[in-house]
Amino acid sequence: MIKHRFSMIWMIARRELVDQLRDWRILAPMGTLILFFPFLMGFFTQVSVDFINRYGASLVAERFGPFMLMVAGFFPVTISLVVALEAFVGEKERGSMEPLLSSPTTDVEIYMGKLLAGTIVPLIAGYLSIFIYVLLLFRRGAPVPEIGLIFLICVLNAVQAVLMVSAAIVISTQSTSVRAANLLASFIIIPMGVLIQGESYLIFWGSDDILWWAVVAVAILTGLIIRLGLSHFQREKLLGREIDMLDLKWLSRTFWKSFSGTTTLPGIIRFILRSRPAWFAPQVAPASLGMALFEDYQGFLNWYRIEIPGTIRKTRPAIIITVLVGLIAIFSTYFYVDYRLPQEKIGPQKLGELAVEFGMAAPGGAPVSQGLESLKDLISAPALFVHNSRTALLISLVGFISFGMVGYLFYIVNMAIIGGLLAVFNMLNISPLLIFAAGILPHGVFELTALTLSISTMMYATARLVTPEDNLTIGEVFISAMADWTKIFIAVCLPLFLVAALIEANITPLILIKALGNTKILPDG
Amino acid sequence: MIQCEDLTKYFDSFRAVEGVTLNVEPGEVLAILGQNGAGKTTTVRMLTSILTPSRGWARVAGYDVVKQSQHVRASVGVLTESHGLYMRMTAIEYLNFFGQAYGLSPERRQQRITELLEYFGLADAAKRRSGEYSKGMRQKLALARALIHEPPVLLLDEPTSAMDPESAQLVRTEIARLRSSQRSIILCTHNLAEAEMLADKIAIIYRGRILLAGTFEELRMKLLGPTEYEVTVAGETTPHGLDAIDGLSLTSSGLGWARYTAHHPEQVNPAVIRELVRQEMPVVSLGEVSRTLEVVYLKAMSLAAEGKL
Repeated sequence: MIKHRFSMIWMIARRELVDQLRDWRILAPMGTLILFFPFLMGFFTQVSVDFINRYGASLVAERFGPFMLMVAGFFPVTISLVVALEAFVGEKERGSMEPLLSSPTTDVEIYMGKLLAGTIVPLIAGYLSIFIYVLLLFRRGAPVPEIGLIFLICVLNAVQAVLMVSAAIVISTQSTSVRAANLLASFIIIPMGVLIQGESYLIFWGSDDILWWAVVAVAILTGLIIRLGLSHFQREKLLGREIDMLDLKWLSRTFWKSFSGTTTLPGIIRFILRSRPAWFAPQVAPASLGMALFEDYQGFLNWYRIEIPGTIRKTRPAIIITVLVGLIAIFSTYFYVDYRLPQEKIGPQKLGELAVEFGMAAPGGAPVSQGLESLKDLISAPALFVHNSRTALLISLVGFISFGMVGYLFYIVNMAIIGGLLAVFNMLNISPLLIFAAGILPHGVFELTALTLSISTMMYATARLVTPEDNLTIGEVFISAMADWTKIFIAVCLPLFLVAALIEANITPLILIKALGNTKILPDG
Repeated sequence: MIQCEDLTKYFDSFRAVEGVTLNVEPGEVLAILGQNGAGKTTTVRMLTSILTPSRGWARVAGYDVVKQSQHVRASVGVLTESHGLYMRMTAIEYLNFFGQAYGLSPERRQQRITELLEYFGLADAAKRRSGEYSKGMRQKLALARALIHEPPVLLLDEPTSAMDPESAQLVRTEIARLRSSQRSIILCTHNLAEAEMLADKIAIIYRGRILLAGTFEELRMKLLGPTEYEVTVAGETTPHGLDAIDGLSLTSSGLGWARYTAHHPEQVNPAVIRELVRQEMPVVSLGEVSRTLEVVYLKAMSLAAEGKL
């Protein structure tokens, strides 16, 4: 069975490859990139290294090799975008999709076959380019990167190629024309640009090993995108969809239905629109403004009573996972900092100085409460509310873009900071439990709940995107998932952040001062 | 072999096909006739398990189109509206690809490719890329693709479009041969003469609904009534006295001609000639009034447009 499936995937891929290798519009730019780019990279490396060395920045020059190696391999890979973007929609335009869809090949076979075909040729081109570049370095007597590094760059190139192709194929299956697919390609090009910049930063900043983490992250992301594509690959939609129209009416109706749980517009809007033509205000308007407000009041109560708990119930698995991940982040960071941080490097003295620097303690061995007194005036509830809400919003947004990955990473970092902070207090001989109970818990009950709910709903939304849902298009799933997140953010998270900010600004410092009393961070004298 | 009942397809709120009920036995050709956009392609796509019906059910070659879509696709040969060829592939490569997709062994593929290319007169062009083919050659190659796995069910959309008369005749002969080998065939066409020639049953589809279905005779009887005969005589006189003949019902007449219907034409037509000869009217001709499928179809369309059907 598996063998048969692979043979079918390869059959689809081979046909595509034959098509590509007979198309001069693909071969010509690829050949140019393979032959021209390594020379350009080699020349550029030489000039840059000479220039940098002149100013003694040999460390930077050293990192130029791996960076250029990555660039030399990446440029030919970009061709994969052209091939993959038209994999489905191009065939649909040429009319050759229907015979294939009428054959007994499965969705997975067709999808994976096209994915494979989109990756192979550009990847081979990328490897040839790397090979020529290394050969050039060797001939010029320039330092040749180690074999391990070359291997790492080759793996990185492979995951990047599959990432681009998988994203392009998702676009190709969801577009109605090649033109539309090309326009949507910016959704791949821009994030890929950011990714390459990030990887370049890692190359210059860290050791080569750090790139393996980039490989793992890109591989996970690629897996999620492939899953997204497969989940929403529908033969029917592929042939049935004829035109791309921005249907704002449909968009707002779908969003509103998921957001409010009803298709009826708020009474106040229906009342305002009551004299408009039927096509504009198609729903029955309330008789008076009072009736409209009463209807909305009832609707609002129902929304809180039925819709919000319903959505929270749906996200329960995501909430459990998020809470567990948060706890693991707190505890693992606590124990890491407490046991692994070399005391001789950062002892109580240094920590105390840092505490003073950040306003958490008073200089000259004064009690901690004095430092907190001065800090209290700097904290304001509106600023905290805006900061926390904005942070949760941004985390969720980057989460949506990266299928939850980057959003979750930020969440883990936030939780890890709590663990790390508690460990630092422990190192200062202040009970972490006391700090937690007095300094975090009072507002944290609300703040952390809001953050967890926001992240969980985002995770639930991205999980929905990569899970097949019968009779729903990718657009419908996306809008409905966004509506769910917006609903929870507005109805639950924002009020909780507000309460948390009020407590954090007005109550937590008082409890903390009371709890810490005359505790001193810096030793007297 | 092909059965469907109440087959309905909605695209959002748009009704593409509604309540289609069909039955095509082995060795039968059903022609589906209708305007562009009437729902022919949607029906065919539901029968090939590409589209999921919104309502109703269909079984093709014994398989349910929703639950056993893989089996349905393996049992059906489809000729789509556009030929759907891969232009950079040769005919051999193309047929080999689909032969493999339909699970044929390499030996069987080779055999079928040779047979089909020779039958359709493409053997000489077998190693040329299909992008270099004429329209007719492309259509023949697409038909060869539909036949590569010798399916028990064939769904053919305009099989002879763009073909020269000889090639079209070749395809028609092949369809007739397939029918005699107990294949079930659905033929979607605008070529009414071809449908009349090949189809055992005809279904006329209008705005997603089947208006009429049955044999050509049944359709003709339903829409145009019993067979009409026309007698013409020389000179500028109207044939008269014909309505006195037993079993003849005069429908219309004019200078030099008269039309009538008869339940027993074998008795009535000689009596008509005898009567005209008796009146010394020189008979020029006597025959059936032309009632081709085209006449039937156009009548159906006009009645449908008026809401009378």
